[in-house]
Amino acid sequence: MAELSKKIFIVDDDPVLAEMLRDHLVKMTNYDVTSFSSGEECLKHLDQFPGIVFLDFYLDSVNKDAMDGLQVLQEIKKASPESDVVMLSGQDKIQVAVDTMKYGAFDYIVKGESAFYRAEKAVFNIYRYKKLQGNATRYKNMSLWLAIGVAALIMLVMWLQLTGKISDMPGWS
Amino acid sequence: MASFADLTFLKSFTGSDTAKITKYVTMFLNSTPKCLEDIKLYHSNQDWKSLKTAAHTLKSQLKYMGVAKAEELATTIERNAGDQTNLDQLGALIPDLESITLQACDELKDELTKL
Repeated sequence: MAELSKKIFIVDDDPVLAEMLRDHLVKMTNYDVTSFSSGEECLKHLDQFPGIVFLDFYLDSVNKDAMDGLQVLQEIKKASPESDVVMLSGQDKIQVAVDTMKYGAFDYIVKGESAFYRAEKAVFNIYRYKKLQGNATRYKNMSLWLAIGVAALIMLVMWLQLTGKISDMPGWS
Repeated sequence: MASFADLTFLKSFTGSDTAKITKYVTMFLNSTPKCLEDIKLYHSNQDWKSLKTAAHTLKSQLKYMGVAKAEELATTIERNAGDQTNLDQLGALIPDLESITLQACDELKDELTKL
């Protein structure tokens, strides 16, 4: 199983929230946390393979032409499909949440006092999900090899029977 | 004098870590005047989309600094600008937002000296 990435990116043009979230995640998880004020900056650093990206929905408060959260989400999923994206938004509109999930977001967190706790929970949920996913792949591979082994054994027995060698074996009648 | 800022959340969030409270409050104090100027500018230019975004950004910061009255005003401004409804109210809401936020900033500066 590939090593789970212990790197988190935060993308938010609100410097106070980004700093508070960064401090909280550093304290509550053992992940390496980096923040960016724009989606464009985040995309330039995807070669660092972040395991989790916390991405603000609106990113145009500083630069009016900046990519919005949905555009950045789609680019992240194209360039780094293994990265799980958790959307952050100041609005709790269900349609916004549905749209982000449609484009592959893992979770959607409404900004507020509980957002920090929810972000911490999201990190643990993603970690647990990745581990389960890894275990499932391992068991699938084990089952496949077991099936191949049994099939090979059956074929060997059949070949021994066909060639008459099996009746010569001690204890076989 | 009425108190507008309330650091209860920040104290709880940081476990009363004065260095972190000082850092967050200072960041808020540094960014707020520009944000208020932007809000006034976008209103006078009738740039509703930018006004909505600026009010949205200020709103979340006001929430963490416990400036509930200004947060309510920023929420209304964001909604009115976003939906382009009750735009005539903005002329009264924005000066109120500025006045309360600036008073809260003064209180926060005082709080920093007491930490």
